[in-house]
Amino acid sequence: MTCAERWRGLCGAAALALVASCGGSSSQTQLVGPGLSGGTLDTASIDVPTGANTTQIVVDAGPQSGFSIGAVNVPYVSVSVCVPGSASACVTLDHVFLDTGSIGLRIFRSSVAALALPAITLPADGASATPAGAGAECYPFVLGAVWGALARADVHIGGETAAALPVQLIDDSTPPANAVPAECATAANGQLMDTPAALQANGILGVGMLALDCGSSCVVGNYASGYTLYYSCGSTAGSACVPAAVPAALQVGNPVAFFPVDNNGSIIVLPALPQLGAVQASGRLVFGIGTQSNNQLAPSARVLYVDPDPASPTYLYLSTTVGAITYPDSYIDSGSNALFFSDPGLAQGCQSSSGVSGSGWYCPPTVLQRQATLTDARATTAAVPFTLVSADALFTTPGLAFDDLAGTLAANTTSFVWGLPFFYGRSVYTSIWGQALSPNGPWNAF
Amino acid sequence: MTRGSPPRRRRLPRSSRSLARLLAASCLALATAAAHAVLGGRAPAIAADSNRLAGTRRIEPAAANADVQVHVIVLADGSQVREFVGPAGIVFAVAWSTRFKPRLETLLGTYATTYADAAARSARGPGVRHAMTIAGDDLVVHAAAHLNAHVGLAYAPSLVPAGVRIDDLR
Repeated sequence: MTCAERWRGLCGAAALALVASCGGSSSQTQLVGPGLSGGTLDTASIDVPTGANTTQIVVDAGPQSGFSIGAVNVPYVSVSVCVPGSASACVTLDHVFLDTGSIGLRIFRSSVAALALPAITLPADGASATPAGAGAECYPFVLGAVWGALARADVHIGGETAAALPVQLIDDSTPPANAVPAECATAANGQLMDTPAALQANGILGVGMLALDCGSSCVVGNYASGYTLYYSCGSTAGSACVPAAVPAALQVGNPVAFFPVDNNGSIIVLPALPQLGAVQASGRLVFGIGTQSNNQLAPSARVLYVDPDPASPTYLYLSTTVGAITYPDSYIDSGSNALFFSDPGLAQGCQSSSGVSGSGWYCPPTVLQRQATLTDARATTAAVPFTLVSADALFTTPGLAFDDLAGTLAANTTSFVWGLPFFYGRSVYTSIWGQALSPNGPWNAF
Repeated sequence: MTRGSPPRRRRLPRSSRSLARLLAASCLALATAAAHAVLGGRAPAIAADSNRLAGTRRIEPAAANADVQVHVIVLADGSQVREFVGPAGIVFAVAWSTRFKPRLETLLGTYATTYADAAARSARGPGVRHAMTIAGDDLVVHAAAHLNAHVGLAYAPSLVPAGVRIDDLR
């Protein structure tokens, strides 16, 4: 068989006997392995709810720009981007990465070049010494960053529209339209993500718990605690960009918060999976919480508030306890492709562990059933059972969607990342703090 | 917080500790070239860090170990940088909870290059990362971000005073 390329797993020694090979276009593979249920690997899908406030989520091999990127557990949606006010000057982008761990729509400049979206001009601000100029952003992730200009677009997802929303156009031109500030190259750890292959997507749709990607610190241009987020750039090509204060109305916004209706949160609905995963999974992204008959908070759902105090070291986090270990900086995140945590008692030693990421996989010799307790900022708890299967076994399959894949973090790490495996077989609600919603606050429910 | 197992760290016998402190102090000469304290630097220079970050500073004993001082630098936006100082007066760990991705190249002192190289290698992998760890010979870095809440811890295993559990550094 040909092993699928996986971004943090190499094709390791077979841990499973493949009864039938995964050749041709067949999506079914017979699998038998120690401690694992045999059977066929298939697609998994859930087709409800439907309606104008929903759209499809797919977990598949990623953008097909001439090659398969081959990510695992990366959820994608399609987004249409139009010139503000136009019904025809539009581009539809497939495989936009659905991320509850960030805020805002970020798409490649080249993909919407034909639209000539209106740029966002920042006003001069004396207090922060911001000169008037074209707005640009250096949006960093824990590793890497994206750089590019701000523009306005009508953003259509399913039947919902965020009109004239500030979005980021990731600069993929050569050379960049504005020289990348040295500070941004540092913020990016030397690796700006400026291609679909680097991003594993045609864009990022950040639909986390906040309405804006920055908020008050950027309104006053106070970047004392880290790398500058927003810049003001001179109007001539190649001119320098300097740190900028940005009014809230010009900051990159969570598209959901700017829909005229169904704007107080979202729900990610993904199917349950068999232990060996699925070659593809599809589900639904639902907009609004309690605003329509199809997005009511289930009576059985447990609402967990993340820490709402910006002065607290655990701001925006939950706490997770597994056995004797407590992880105070835990979060539920569709943008992480596995459960990530440190547990010195678990076998690592995977054949397929990564050579590049600094974070490998767990490979327990047998299927493990674990029990976690999530505790929120109001001392509400929720019991979350989870299953771990060896990454070596999973990566021997042609699967791309796994609910039992876990990655390692170094000893003593205080985070338990509830990545996409957590979402399968659940409806996971993400509120948007400050929007009309009862109860209000930054919370997840499931 | 509690953890299942003690940190994997070479523990020196008590008689060796003063030697270790002397060795650590001699490393200081290398670190003092930096304009501010940071990892591997001396405690008195933390005031410069605080000024550079436009923060206010308070000093408190670590909750779990009275031999460890925590210099908590609080910024106007609620962000914190916490520098941990052992009996030798050396900053052996730095933790952060910040609104923006922190400038580790300025917080890690002489370890900044080690971090930059390791992070650049890790960053070459595709895809968005919301959590990462770097565990090298003498630098361990944990970092995570949920929305605009960046958290993390960096420490130099060789500088961690005897008897200090990494688990207890918050």
